[in-house]
Amino acid sequence: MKILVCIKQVVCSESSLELNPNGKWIQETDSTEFRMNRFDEYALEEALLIKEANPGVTIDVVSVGPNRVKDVVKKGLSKGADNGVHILYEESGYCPPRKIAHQIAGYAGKQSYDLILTGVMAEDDMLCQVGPMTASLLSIPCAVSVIKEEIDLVNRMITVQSEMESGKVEEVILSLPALLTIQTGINQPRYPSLSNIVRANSQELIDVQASFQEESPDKVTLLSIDYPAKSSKICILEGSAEEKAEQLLTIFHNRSLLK
Amino acid sequence: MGSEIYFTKEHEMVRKAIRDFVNKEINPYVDEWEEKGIAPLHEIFKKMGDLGFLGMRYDEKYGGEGLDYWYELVLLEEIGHIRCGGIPMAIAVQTNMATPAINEFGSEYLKEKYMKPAIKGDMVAAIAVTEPDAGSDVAAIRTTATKNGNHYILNGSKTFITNGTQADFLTLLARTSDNPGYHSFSLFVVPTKLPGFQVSKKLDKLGMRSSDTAELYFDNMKIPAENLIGIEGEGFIQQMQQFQHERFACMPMTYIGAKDMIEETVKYLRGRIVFGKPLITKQVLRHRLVKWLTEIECLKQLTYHIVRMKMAGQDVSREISMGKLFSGNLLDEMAGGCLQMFGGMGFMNEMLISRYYRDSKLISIGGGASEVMSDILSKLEGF
Repeated sequence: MKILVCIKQVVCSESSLELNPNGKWIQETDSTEFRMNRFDEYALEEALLIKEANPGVTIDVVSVGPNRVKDVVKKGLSKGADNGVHILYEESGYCPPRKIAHQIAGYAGKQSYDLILTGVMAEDDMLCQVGPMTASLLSIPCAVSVIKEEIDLVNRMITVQSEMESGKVEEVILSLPALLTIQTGINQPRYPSLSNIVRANSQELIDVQASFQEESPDKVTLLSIDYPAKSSKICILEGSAEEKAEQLLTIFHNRSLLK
Repeated sequence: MGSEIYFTKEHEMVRKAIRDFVNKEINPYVDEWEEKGIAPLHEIFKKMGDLGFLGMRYDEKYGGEGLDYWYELVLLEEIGHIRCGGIPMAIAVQTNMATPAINEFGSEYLKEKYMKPAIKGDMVAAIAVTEPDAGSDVAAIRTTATKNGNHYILNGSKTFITNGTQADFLTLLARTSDNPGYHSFSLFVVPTKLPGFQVSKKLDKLGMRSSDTAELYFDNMKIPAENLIGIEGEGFIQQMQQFQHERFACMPMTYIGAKDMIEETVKYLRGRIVFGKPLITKQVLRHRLVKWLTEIECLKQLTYHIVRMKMAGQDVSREISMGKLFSGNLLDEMAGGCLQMFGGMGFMNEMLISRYYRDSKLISIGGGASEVMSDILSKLEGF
């Protein structure tokens, strides 16, 4: 069984960020820090758990982007993936999900994967679209926001539970090959082990050039991004200590900060 | 600055992995463990063992990673960022104090039965040398191991034993002969589950409070003869060699901890306004800080020099003794100096600087006191 895990490199949200001059993405500098999209860490961990439970499973990790994304592919290897694939796509900055899905589908379509996993969304744009678009381009079934899955390799089926609004759970059966977007909390992503870190660093990645054939024109154009509007304001409470405590409790209650 | 001269990208990946682990799995719990006076070492070591952090230099045959001294240094530097001294010390006991002798002199049986689980994090190790009447004066130890058929009978006591209440085995130095001289001692692996072993008491300490320290008692304890490490009578020499790993471990943990201490102090001095200006603007304080930073850099560079010497297979006893002495002197001066800059706040237990101050004191006492380092160096210099 072959699993492909799609991982995205995102800017570390803890580092200080500035918009680029045209106001359309983050300004990348030498000190800009990147890391693996946390949502994709859950997808990779789920693949690793499937591999541990089923002998003969191999895991490939793939990332689309400029050369710097090799680092997250290596990180995927250091967590235990077998092979790392880098689809070189030189465009830095915002890249519409459709273009990424096109690249992943172009590669995955030639590799006969049984299962493709992604995180439920990316931390930066939070669009949740690459997974379903890739499934659509490959004409394979897709389930999103998966919180549990059970594979039946004999009948080539997978039963999945997906999280819905208000805590409801949807259960569906998909035939393999299929694509799942994995919800957080389904597992506890592991730390890279030392032996895998060493292996990852010496292992060659599979380098793939981006394909621009059959790429349809964008139907969505990013106009601009902005800093969040400053919304915090100071409220000074008046009165005795008891009165202030009462007011504070009311504020907490009104903002649902107390259960 | 300049670390890329010594560390490769591979080293940095390992560093990042250890740093992530420390930030997520250790630092958030340090306050709780300090309060309790003990840390769950089996749980922490299991997690570290699974990731390969406890056997970096050891052979892959025993679950180690077979890596070089630079990787070991990366580990020691990163655990130096743990926000207390007790946990890094507990880890270093496992990696640099209680297992090197088994690795270097132990039988295949001992490596399989004790070193392998210690690397995996399934067993907690401790080093048992110090006794109530024998500290830095190691040759004065009185605990005896008397050969009796296929066993040794152990009698005596050990004190100030780090990890002592939780250890699954001790690497223990005992007297195996009444003859004078250094060839009357032997090193043993002592499993703590055997009858005759007792934790007399858990000791209350000035610092390193998250680390459990114990006094241990051995009453006619029967240990299998195969638990002897190497050759009978060679234990003292073996332990002196093992001490080199222990003393070396003090150095990176000192310069990393000291640098963190300076950063903590500078942060406070920037925010503390006295007579209308931040304290950091006072020249006398700035000059003291950079003096310590200079000494920290010197210690770091001596450490890197030692690693290069080790990689070249050279004897590093002299340089390590110097580094251990320098570490103790530096911390004795700067921990108090930094705390002084915090004024009254520094005296409050809620401030990290007070913990640094308490924990730092051990560096000039444990693992061979500064006075012993000075004596060793005097002898090596021929005076």
